[in-house]
Amino acid sequence: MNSNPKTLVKVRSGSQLLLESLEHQGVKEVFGYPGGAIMPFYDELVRSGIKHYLCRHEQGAALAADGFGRTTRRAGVCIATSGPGATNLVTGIANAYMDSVPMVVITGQVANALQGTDAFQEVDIFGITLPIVKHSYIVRRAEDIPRIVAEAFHLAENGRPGPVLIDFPKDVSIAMVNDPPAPPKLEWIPPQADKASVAAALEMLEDARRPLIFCGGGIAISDSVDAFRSFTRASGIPMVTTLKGIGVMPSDDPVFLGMVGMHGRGSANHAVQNCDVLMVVGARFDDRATGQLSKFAPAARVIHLDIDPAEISKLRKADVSVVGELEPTLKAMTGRVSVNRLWREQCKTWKKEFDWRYDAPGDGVFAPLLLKQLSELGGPDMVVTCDVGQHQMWVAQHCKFSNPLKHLSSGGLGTMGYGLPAAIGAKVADPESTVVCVSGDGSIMMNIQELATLNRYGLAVKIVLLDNSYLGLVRQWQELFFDGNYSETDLSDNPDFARVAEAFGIEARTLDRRDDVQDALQWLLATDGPALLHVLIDSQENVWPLVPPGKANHEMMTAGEIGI
Amino acid sequence: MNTVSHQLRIELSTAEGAMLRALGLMERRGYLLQTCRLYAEMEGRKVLDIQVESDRPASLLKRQLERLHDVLTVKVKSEAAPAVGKFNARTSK
Repeated sequence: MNSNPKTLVKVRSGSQLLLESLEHQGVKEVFGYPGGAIMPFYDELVRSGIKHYLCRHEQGAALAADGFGRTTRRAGVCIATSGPGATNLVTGIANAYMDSVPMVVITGQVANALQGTDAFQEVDIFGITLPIVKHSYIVRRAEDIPRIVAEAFHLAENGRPGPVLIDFPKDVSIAMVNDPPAPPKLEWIPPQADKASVAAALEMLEDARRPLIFCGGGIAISDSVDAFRSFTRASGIPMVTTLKGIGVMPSDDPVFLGMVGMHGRGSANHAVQNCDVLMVVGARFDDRATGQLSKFAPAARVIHLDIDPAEISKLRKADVSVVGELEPTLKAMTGRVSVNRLWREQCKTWKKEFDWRYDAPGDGVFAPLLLKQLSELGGPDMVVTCDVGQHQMWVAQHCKFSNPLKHLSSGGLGTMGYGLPAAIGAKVADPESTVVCVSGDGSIMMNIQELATLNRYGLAVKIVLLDNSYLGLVRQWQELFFDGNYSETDLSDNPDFARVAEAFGIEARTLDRRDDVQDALQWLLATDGPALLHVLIDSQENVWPLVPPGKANHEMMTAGEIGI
Repeated sequence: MNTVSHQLRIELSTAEGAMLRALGLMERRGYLLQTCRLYAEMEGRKVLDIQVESDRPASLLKRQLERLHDVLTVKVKSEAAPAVGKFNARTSK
């Protein structure tokens, strides 16, 4: 026992130390679910200054942390116990990895001495997640916790962000540490593009007759939106985006031609196929964007700007690569190139030619029009989260965004069930914002238990549930490419979603007439607390245009072609 | 495409899982491991000599390995990897 007050040592348990380390990183909210191996941590959690959001499934917790991380550009934190708790996080971790979302994942683990013995709820989550984390740790000594947590946040948030896993054995969580070490101060020095490659990029753009910018999620992730807009507006170069790039330029800006790819806008796809220089900014040639890669931008030389060298020439050879932080690179390029008028006029013509139409026949709800109305009612500050399927593509096409951080969509992994938990994360991150989750009747069932989370914390998330009684996008492909063999996509035995929501304590309405859309949306946005609008739509409605498999992006199928 | 053999030398930290992480990445990214030799730990580092086969370039594997936190250096022994950011603007596709 140390009786000299001048030399009193601080004594902390591993769990206390982990919580202190999280607080040291500025963590105020976490998402999780308790269980056996993580119990000592949860025992201390309620005495900490950190607010815990109990999700009703670990996948919900991981995806909520993703939504938080995407919205704030700081690591979202999720917590689960060992074994099934940890494996239930896996989809959320993979989702964050694929979309470069900062996240710190804490998993309970059986005690060190029990590992490798097939102990109760033992699973090698470190091994399972190796392919889907930016980095991971198993904490072997409680003394290492401050360093590991500091490194985890440093890695998760800097460079190309991603999820970092900390596996936390039970014996470490209860071990006592005398005078724990202070966390290290870690400095991030952003990589800067070399001047020669910037000059080469500018030279190629100057030579171009039909230059085009193709931008992705990297611009928002690196907080380079302002620099990007300055460069693009000064140059006048037309631009297209990936799904994750939506919002880097306001949707109604003249240079913005739309999203490219499988369900991209015709103007964007035609511009890509006809450009002679393609400047790729923070995008990775995802196959949903490129279609048949060998036919993508066939006449173009490529300039590729990215912070991650491993993306350069991974799929499409870069003629000029500019590796480094995007913002200073874009600033260095601003005001030094311009684009010829003829090409700009051509792009404008395409934009007009391929404008969206909302004059669908009938009096049923036309989902694209509803989403356009929602976007107009909600305004530019509304956050929209999506699930995956037809509704996700309709949001990308018909909602207007002027900030990429307001559009949360599972791009790389395509995770059905993402929308609702992501909305929880976004609402926790910014309680004052209007957060709308647009979902489908297939997707909502993947994480419907999170309605209980909305109710528990009174999170005023608004849900627009587009219900066509099918797995719509799969049904569409079955119709077009599988001879109408609708294998296992009929969901006509869906529950009454409005009653389900009400059973969770959430106000709900059902909508089935186009004339009632405006009133219903106004009700949804004006309702205090969480609310759900159950929207019945035509089960045969398809997403257009569509680039068939193996085709180039300009070879789009449209509704008219197949007589719809 | 033609499959080509690449030889690389990788210096790893001694952190838990470092070798598993590096070897797993190779196979997942389309590089089939042919031979592998791990040298005794020296000065807090492990040295791994590997031979892989792939129709993908060694330079891409090098950059993907270099992303790993535990990977300290990667040298391609059998193929000169183009330096990132040094492509000439006039180079055709």
